[in-house]
Amino acid sequence: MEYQVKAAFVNNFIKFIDWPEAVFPDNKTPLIINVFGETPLLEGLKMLEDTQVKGHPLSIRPAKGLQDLGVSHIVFFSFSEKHRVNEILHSLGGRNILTVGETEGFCEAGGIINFTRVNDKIHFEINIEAAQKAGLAISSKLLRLATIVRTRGGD
Amino acid sequence: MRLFDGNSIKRKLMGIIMFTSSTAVILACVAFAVYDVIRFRMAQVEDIRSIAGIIAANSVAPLEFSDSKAGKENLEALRSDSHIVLAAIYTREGKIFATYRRSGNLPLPDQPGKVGGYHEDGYLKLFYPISLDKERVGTLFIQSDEEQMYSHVKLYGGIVALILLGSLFVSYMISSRLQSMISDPILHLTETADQVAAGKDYSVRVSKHNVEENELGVLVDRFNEMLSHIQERDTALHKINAELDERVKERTRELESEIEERKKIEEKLRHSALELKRSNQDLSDFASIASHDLKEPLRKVISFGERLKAHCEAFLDDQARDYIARMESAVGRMQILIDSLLQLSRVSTKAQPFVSVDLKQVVEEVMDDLEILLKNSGGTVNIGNLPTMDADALQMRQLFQNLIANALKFKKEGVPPIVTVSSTNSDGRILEIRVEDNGIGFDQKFAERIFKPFERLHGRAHYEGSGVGLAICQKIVARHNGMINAQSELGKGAVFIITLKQA
Repeated sequence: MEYQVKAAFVNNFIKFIDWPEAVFPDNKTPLIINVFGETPLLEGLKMLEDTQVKGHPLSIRPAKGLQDLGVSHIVFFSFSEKHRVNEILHSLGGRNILTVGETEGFCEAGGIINFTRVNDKIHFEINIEAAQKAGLAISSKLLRLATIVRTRGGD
Repeated sequence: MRLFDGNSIKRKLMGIIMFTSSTAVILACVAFAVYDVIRFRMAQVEDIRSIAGIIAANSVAPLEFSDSKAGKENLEALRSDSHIVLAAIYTREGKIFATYRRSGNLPLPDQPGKVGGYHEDGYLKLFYPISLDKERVGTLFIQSDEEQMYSHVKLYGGIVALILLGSLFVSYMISSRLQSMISDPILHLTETADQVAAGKDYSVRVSKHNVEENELGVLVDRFNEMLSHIQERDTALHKINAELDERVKERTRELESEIEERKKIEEKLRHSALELKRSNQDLSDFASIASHDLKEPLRKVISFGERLKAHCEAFLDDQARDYIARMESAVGRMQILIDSLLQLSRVSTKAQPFVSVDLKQVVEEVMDDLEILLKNSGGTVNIGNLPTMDADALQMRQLFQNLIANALKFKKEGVPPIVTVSSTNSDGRILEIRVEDNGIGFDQKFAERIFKPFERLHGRAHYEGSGVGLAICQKIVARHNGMINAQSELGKGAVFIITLKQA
C-alpha cells in the first residue's frame, strides 16, 4: 500500500516538474526511471509502465550500480541503498536527473525529493537548490505541498 | 380607466398623453432592468468563475498528492468574498476531498454536477473542472448567495420608480400645455355650438384665433360655413313663415266674411221658410173658412132656387125652367168644388197623429165604400201584399179611395176596369205602393200636371169631378214623408207609385 502511494506520487511529480527541452527531443522519447535497491516500489512503478505521462511512455529499469545508469530521468534510491546515497548523488552531480529518496537526510545530502511520514501520512521534502543544480523546474504548486529543505554543508 | 372617464376632451387628451408616455417609460425601464439583471447574473457567474479558476489551479497539487489539508487551506481563500457561502473539492472519483462553509448548514451536493454555473433556489452554483495538463483530476464546487443581485434589483426598482414619477410629472406639465393646442379650439367650438343651440342665434362665428391650419382649422371653417348656411335658411324660413302667416290671416278674413254671408243667407232662408209656413197656414185657414162660409150663401141659393121652382111653377115658361135648371147645376158643381177645397185644406188642418195602420184593411174598407161604383162599372180590385205602417188612418183611407175611384172612373169604354194594389219593400227602408189600372191612361207629359189642384185632362162632360182628388193624394203622401208620381201612356192604363221612407 505504501509503495503504491509512493509510485503514484513519483508519477505525479513528473507532472509538476519540467526537464530541459534537450532531454526530450520528441514525444516518443521514453521517460526512464531507474530504481536502486530491492524495493516493492519497483512493482508499483511497473504497473504504470504502459501509461503515458506528459505524452512520454514510462520505462522502469532496476539498477545495481552506477554503470547501469545510462540515459536516465528519474533515479529512485530505496531505503536499502542508504549507505550508497552520498556516493551516487555525487557522481550524478550536474546531470538532468530527478533524484528521489526515502531516507532521512536524503535532501540535506543533495537529493531533490525525499519521502517522509507525518502523522502516518506520506509527505515529502524538496531541495530547491539541488533541483536548480540539476536544471529542473519544480512547480510552485508542488512546492506548496512540500517541506523545503536546504543542502547541509554544501560544496 | 378613470383617466378616460372625464367628459372633458381636455382630460382625455392629457390622459392619453400621460398614459402613452408612462407606458413607454415603464416598457423602457423594464427592458433595461431585465437586461441589467441578465448582464449582472452573467457578470456574477464570470466573477465566481474567475475565482474558481484560481482555486482550481491551486487545488491540483493537493488533489494529486491527496493533501486534503492543503485543499482545505486553499478553499479558505474564499473567505474574502462574503457572498460565497459554500465550496467543496471533489476528487476525480467524485468523492468529497475538502469543504468550505461560511456559516449555517447548507447541504453539499453528494456528487459533482455538470460543469457550469446555475441559478438555483436563490443561489448561484458553479461546478468548475480541476485539470492538470488537460487531464481532469477533480471538480471544484462554489455556491454563492444572490444578495448582491437582490440589492441590485431593489436599487434598480427604486430608480425606475423615481424615473416614472419624474416622467409622469414632466409629461403632465407638458401635456397640460400641449393639449390646449387641440382642446381649446374644440372647446371653443363646443361653446359656440351651445350658444347657438341655446340662443338660436346663427350669427355667431367661431374665431380662428390660435387655430392651426390642420383638421381642426378645417373643422372650424366647416362649422362656420354650416352656421352661415343655417342662418341663410333660417332667414328664408322666417320670411316664408311671415308670408304664410299673412296668407293664413287673409284667408281667415275671407272665410269669416264668407261665413258671415252664409249666416245672413241662412237667416233669410229661415225667415222665408217661416213666412212660407205662415202663408201656407193662412191659405189653409182661408180655404177652410172660405169654403165653410161659402156654403152658407150657396145653400140659400139652392133653397131659394127650389122655392122659386115650386112657387112659380105655373108662371114659368120652358126657357125660365131651363135657366133654373142650369143655375141648379152650377150650384151643385160649386158645392162639389167647395167640398173638395175643404177636403184639400183639411189634410193639413184636420191632421191626426200617426198610429199603426193595416193598409190591407184600409183598402178593403175603401172597397166597401165604393161598392156601388164597382157594381156599376163591373170592375174588380186585386189586393196584393200590403204592410202595416205608422200613418194617419183617415188620410190613408182617403188616399186609396181617391186613387181607386180615379182608376174606376177613367175606364175604357166597354172594358171592365181592373185595379191592382200591391207593394214592395226593397231593402227594408223604402216602401213602394203601386196602384195599377187598365183604363184610358194619359200622355206621360201630363204626369206632373195631374197632381195640381183643379187641373183636368178631360172635359166635365165626360168625367165628373172637381180635379182636386190627386192634389189631395199628393198632399197626404207629402205629409207622410213620401212622394207620388204617375206613369202612363195614352190608352194603356196608368200606374200611380207611392214611395215612402220607412223609419
